[in-house]
Amino acid sequence: MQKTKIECEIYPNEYRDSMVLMNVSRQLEETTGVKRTMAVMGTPGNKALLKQMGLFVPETEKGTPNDLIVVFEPDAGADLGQVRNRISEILTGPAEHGGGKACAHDGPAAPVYRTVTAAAEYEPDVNLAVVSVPGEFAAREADLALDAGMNVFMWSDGVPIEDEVRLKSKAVENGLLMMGPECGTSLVNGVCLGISSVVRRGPVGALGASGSGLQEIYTLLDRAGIGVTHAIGTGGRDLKEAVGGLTTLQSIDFFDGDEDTKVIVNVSKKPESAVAKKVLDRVSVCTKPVVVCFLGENNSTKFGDNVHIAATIEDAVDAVGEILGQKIITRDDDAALAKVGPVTLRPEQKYIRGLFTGGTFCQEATLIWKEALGEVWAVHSMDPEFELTDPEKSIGHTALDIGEEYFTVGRPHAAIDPVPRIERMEREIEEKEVAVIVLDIELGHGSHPDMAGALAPSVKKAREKGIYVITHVCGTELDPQNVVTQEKILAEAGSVVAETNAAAARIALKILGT
Amino acid sequence: METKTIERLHTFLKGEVKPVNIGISSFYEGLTSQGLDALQLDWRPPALGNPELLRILDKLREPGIRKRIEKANDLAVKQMIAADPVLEDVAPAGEVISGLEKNMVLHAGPPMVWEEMPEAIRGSVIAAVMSEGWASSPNEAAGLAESGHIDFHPGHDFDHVGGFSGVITHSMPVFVVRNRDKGNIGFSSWRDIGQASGRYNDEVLRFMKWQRERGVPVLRTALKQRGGIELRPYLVQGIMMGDEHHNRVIGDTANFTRMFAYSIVEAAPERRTAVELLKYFADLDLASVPINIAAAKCIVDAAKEIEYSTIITAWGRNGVEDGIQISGLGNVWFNGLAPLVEGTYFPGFSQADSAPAIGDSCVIECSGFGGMASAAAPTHATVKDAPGAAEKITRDMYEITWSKNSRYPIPLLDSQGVPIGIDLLKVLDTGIRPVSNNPAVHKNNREISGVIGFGLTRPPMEAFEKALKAFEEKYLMLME
Repeated sequence: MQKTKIECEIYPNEYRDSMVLMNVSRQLEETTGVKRTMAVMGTPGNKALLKQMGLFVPETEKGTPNDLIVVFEPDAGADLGQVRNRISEILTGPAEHGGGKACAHDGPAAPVYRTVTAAAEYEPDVNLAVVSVPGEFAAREADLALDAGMNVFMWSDGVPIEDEVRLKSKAVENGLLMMGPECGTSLVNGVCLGISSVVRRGPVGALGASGSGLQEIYTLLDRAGIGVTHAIGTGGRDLKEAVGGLTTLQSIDFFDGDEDTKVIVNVSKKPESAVAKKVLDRVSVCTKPVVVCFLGENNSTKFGDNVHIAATIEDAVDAVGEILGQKIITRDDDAALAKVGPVTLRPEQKYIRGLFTGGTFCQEATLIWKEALGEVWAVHSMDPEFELTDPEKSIGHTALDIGEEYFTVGRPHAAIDPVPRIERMEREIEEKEVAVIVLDIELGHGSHPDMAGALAPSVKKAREKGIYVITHVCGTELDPQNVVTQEKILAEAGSVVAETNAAAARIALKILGT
Repeated sequence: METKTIERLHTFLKGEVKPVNIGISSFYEGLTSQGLDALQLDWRPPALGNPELLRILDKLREPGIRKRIEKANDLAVKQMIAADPVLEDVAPAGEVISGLEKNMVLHAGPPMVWEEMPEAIRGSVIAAVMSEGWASSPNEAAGLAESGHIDFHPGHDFDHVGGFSGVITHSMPVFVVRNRDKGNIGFSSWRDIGQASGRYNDEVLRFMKWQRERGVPVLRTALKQRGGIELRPYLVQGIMMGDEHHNRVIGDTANFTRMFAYSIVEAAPERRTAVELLKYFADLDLASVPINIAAAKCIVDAAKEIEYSTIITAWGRNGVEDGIQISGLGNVWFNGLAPLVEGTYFPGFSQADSAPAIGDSCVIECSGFGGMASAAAPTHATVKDAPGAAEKITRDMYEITWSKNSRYPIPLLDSQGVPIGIDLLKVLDTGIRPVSNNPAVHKNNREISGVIGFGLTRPPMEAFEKALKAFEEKYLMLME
């Protein structure tokens, strides 16, 4: 076999920087017909390098330090003319960036930071950190954000309660707002955080230790044309005794002093009594009317001149409406139910299954069902007697919060990711004794783009099996998903659409004939 | 609530919201779809998710110790920024490095013995020993090294830092740079690249003899006559010319030669030596690197041994181990395995041919230049993988440095200063390690001359982990 000759091209007075030439060499190597190649300036050092690599031929010696030398070892039978053309193409064409990729630069890319501290340092106008990293790391991020002077919205759960106390104390001390951990929704000056609906601005200052409860209130108000100044989510544990309502009290202080806020409404799951007292003491000296809804408190009462205690979310919304001179909730459950025709159940169909993604919605429905039915099974039940030993298997009337850690571990929250709930629903509809399935959907920025569409096939399947489905969609027409569109998708799939979550729970009872 | 804190809350709730999203990307999309100018953090678990390290990092954020660390690091960086390096001399090492005895050999990186040394250092030692006249053949030189009659020490222990092997002996020449602010001195060998990468042939030995007998006396006289050369303006000009002072030094070498040429001519006893010296600087792009290394050493040493400081004050590799030192922990090395160079190799070579990283030259990075200032060298950027990669590197480096040195502005980054003061805690917080621009050396360097490519190296995470644990032991356990 003939030994291939080394070819050498010299370009006199053609200076290229050594870094550029490394790149040229790399492009040349990719050229068809070239085995090995190197492009260098003709310095003594480079000539020595070529010798070492066996790429030196007598002609190479002629190149001076100002000359560009291109040497190459062609493949046997290669078209040398074509290779030379390619060389001059590479040398005269625009310098390609590494990897030969086309350079598509639309101006500088937005800087990307790894740490909240760096973001704060280089973007000093950042004033809010939205934290949704895993619970074991979340407190640290929030702490760094607070130290950098940022307010915090923390979606993450699984944060130790001592950390919550420490972070909230630091926030309150420094005039910063710490929303969460376990905060599902907040509207800050018209900006939606977490999963939040787009609502109009108005005179109501809303706050709550309950994500779905708070969203229910401000969306129902919005549907009646009443807006909010802000809706501050405090995080699910704010009214636990250990936390002592730090963010709740701070928010009430704010709303009390805020000129734009005319009415305050505060919703939470039933608080521990010492904290409930602290909150009530504070609101009783408010300069404006306050509606307080502690879910599970027995009666709607007045407490002082300015304070209305509401037993349910609907009562709270109506109380706000009353203060502002408006009627809000129709409470016309029969009309909603009538839309799916007369109720017919097989004799064995006896049970309700609630599959919720809003924690407060689950709790609210449970309270309503317990009163009428006696027993309602759950995971982390309020009533230890009715604790499901196997969360995978429902018993009798069961109400599940699919947003609970058990169901979502390693996945996004069920309000965003429809899969865990669809899987559960598919199993529930196989059960002969199931009469009604109750669902909720939280719309808004940050939520799933089409949860109704994702659930619709399972709704249809349930209807085919004679199971009723009742859904409440918490959202507004201004939401990216649009509440009207979502409700329509569900109605077409055969679901009863309820105006409130409580209505959905009551309609379920009606179907059972209870 | 206090009036002030209420006011602060009102300002937030009444003003424009500018959020940073840390976590779920649909929340980021939710924010931007509302028209907000939101940031998405490129978040990853701090300390690589290692709970033990995270525990220490959290303890170090407690106000008491945190304040001390901040104060110490402020001081460390302030002193680095104040450093005023001046090239004062080129002299035989034994004459200016105190404690460098006649039977000693200094080498790069953490301490090691002859048996552990890679080829590049061994060959370099052989050249040095022969050039000193301690042995007349390579075998004899190797035998002497093996016999235990030679004391090996890291150059760092003697304020000496050298590229590649970093090998230096008594009569080999060093550049002497003094920090006129604090008075500390940094040395770096005026090395022959062949010798420094482990060759000991006649050509190498001839050059070393020429240096000693003809080059050094002229450079010394020239520098004495000039009263030294102030390096700050030179370092600024280099950055303006697209150099980062480590891999990319063509502007530096040209500048230095321009500034110094007439002094060489004045000082040379005969025309021949002047021509030889000028030709040396004209032919060798990398001629200015040792000057930069010595200047960097001066700058970094200004931050040394400040109690509680977490700033990295040394970074060196010996071809086996890669180590760092921390200001508040004195001269203790924290090591891991030396990495291979990630980058572009000359045609015909690949990473598989490359020896693990070697040399003290990454002191340049500790001083804010080199890989840290990648964005300053746009030409260098063309060998990186993606458009904007060099700029991205420097932006990353801002996240792990304590400050910026506005004395050395980077034109492409709107004249922000180079990132200075690599912080141990920030490295562990972010998982971003500092970057050094390095040449790759062939693993069989006796056959293939030194450099076979250029690219990046980062110290092993293990070095930072060990340093953090030692910091806890020294400062936290004391407090408890």
